[in-house]
Amino acid sequence: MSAVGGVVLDSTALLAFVSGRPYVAAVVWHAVEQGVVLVMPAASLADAQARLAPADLEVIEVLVDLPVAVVVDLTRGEARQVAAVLAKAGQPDCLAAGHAAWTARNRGMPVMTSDPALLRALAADIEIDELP
Amino acid sequence: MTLPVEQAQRLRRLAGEGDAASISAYVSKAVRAQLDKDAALDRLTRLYAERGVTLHAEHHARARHLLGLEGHDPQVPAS
Repeated sequence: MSAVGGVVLDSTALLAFVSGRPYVAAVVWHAVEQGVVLVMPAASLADAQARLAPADLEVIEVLVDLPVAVVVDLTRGEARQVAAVLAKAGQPDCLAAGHAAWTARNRGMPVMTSDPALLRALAADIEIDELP
Repeated sequence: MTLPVEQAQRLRRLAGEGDAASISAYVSKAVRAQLDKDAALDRLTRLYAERGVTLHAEHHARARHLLGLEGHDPQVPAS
């Protein structure tokens, strides 16, 4: 099996990293060690940051500052495509998950999450890695 | 700085047959990338220690499977 081009971290995966869940910590460590890109959709990052205590915000900054971290902006054109994903699934309130699902599909990358049902509802064709 | 002959030959080819400035830029870029990676791994190691994150063999194995890294030679951090 060859190395994947990258992995998308949704807001639940970002929160799992901050809370010290070892599987996510291992994924991040090996991604840095082998130069695998960690993709963080901006809406997912904002959602995670909104749920963190102020003292934990610096932990997520460590993640964002890694040399393999890529924060994907939600541009005007992409907003329309993410909105279409949300509307089609009847989940208009799930912007963070929608941005993660769209990013995973658009980049052809797996997405790490602890809410696989929601991501499957948004994009049944993406590869989902459920956090243990 | 010394390099194995084979690496030096490949470096000369990649950097344009002995152009000193190109070789310096190439080596500088490689060294900076390695320094950035080492600094990031050091930061993660300290963060995990501070927060009591312990990585076991099954975490490493599953992570490496997800990333398609089986067969690569990792520097696995101490658990």
